[in-house]
Amino acid sequence: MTAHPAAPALEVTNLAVSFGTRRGDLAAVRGISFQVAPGEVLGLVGESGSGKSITGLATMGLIDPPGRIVSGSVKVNGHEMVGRSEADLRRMRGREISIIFQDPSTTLNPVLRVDTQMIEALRAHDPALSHKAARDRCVTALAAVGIPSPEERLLGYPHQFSGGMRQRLAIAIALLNRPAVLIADEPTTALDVTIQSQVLGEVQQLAAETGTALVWITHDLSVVAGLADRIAVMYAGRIVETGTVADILTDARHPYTAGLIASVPSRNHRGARLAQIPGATPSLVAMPTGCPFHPRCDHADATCRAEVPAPRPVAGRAVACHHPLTATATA
Amino acid sequence: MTEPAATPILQLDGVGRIFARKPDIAARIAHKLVGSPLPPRVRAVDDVSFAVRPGEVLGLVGESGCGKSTLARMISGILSPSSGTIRFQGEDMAGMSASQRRQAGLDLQMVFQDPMASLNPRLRVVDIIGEAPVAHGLIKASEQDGYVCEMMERVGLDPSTRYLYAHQFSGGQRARIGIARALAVKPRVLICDESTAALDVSIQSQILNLFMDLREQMGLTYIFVSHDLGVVQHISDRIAVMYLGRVVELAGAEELFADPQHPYTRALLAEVPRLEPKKRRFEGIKGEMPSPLNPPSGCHFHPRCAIAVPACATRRPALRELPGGRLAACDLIGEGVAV
Repeated sequence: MTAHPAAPALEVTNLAVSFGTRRGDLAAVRGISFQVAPGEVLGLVGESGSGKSITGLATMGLIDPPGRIVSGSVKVNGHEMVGRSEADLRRMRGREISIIFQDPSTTLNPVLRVDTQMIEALRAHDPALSHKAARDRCVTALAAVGIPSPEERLLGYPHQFSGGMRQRLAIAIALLNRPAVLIADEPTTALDVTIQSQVLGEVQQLAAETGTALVWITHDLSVVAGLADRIAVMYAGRIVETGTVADILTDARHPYTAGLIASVPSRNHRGARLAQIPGATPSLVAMPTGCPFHPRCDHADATCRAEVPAPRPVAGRAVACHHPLTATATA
Repeated sequence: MTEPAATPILQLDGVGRIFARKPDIAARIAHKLVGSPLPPRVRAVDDVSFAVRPGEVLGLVGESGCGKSTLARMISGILSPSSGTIRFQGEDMAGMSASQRRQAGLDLQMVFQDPMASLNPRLRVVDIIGEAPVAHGLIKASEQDGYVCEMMERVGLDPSTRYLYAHQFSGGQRARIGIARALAVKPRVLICDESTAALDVSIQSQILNLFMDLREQMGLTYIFVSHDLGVVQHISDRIAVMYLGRVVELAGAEELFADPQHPYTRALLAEVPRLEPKKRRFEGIKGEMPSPLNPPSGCHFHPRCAIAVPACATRRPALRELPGGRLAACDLIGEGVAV
């Protein structure tokens, strides 16, 4: 399925986002490019401050001042999102591209019944839709994400749903208009393991059925390991490595990716010292020169300190490193 | 794995904790006169018994609402149990004299999840770490500065930063401050409640390594509470799995992960996302976590259990010993049922 078929559903090219502050512009995302084909799942993985959430918001056109998209393009089904008017963007959001967030209670209106919110979302894009037809589609949508007795639950308020059910509700609303692209920003991070697994199952099935391109943003490599087709690893506002799940997890070529995978407890012998990456992620105000990872990297040399590495093809994937690992020793 | 030789540093017998709103006078009168119901009670922890040996790391895992944090708080002495006894070094904590109690409070230290919520934002680090040992007479006030430097070095912090405030540190450094604060009163047991949950993976591994180093250097005993099974598996000697206030399985970490016995443990382990490059179908245990206000009868897990029989709805299974010295609370194990 990754054989680069027809047009990508989502095409991000050289996207850069900055936030203006009193201390000057802070570049949160520094020129990243990726594509997602219809029906494909891309895992966008990074630690806090890597710019993964800002990337998700930027693709939706949801960057508010003082932030702004400095350069680059975001194409959804071939339509450019960057530079559109707010009214245009509103028409695109929901129908072409949707997003689900970590905390669904911030996206659901607490004082409106579920049916009101869902029907509103449908009729906003299709004013001709009758109330009854809209309602039927809501019932189907709730059933599709595994909410039992959907007719009754439609009459409830968001606070009457448990955490897992509320996240399903957010997913159902995001997919109501069958968008081409769904951005999922850590939607299962706050859920318990067993509930997370249920929600992952629903999303996986729905994305496959509807052919929605899915971008799954997470800090947890093990979540995307079972879900995604490809993984893009972000560090300090850049994508440092992109490849298939198997390539990334078994044979990482960027020292950061390799270090990240090695520091997951289940990859280590029980009770042995965990492999650790020294130091901490750089602050946006004090970004190192050259490769942003060089102060924490064992392989860094003068070139790394001077020049930002551009992504280049290495063993079937793209790696942004001057000295990519040859054969991996991560396992 | 179990050498019964060493006397336990902590011994819990039938420990339970009920949370209830105190009924006001109108509710009490109504209850007396017409038998109207009293406010609901939550049995957060229900009849938990186990022992912890000195130097051991006991992992407590379970999903939200299973009572693991409440149990940790009772062990640390922040909460008192509603029933049962907790013995620290053989002494019942409820019957301790004031001075014993104070000593036990120092010996049992907690490390919290959110260092920003547990560190005083108005104190400099030198006081956050150094205040308690001075107040309790472990060191003289004149020694505080040097002592704090020693503690900061021990947890991998730069002592020259001791006059800064907590908000001036990164998340990983704050976690280290929280650990140094706990270590400063020379505890024997560290109770870690989700201490690494808020940290990034690369920082989490640094902190887990620190915990293991400290254990070796200072002979600490740990109660390690987490919802992250990977973390608990890595650091624990033994693991107790909790579900709705009860311990459903207790076994050595290796045995538990290699061959879980209780149906809940099995389901839980099957759901953990693994770092394996294989697309998998996510299934999930059927149903949701029941409300602790109104837990199912009998075995709490029976409505979600794949192998439940009618008797499970009425009979509460006891935590019983299985071959190999491990414990599980399911009557169907070893009954010829394919668990």
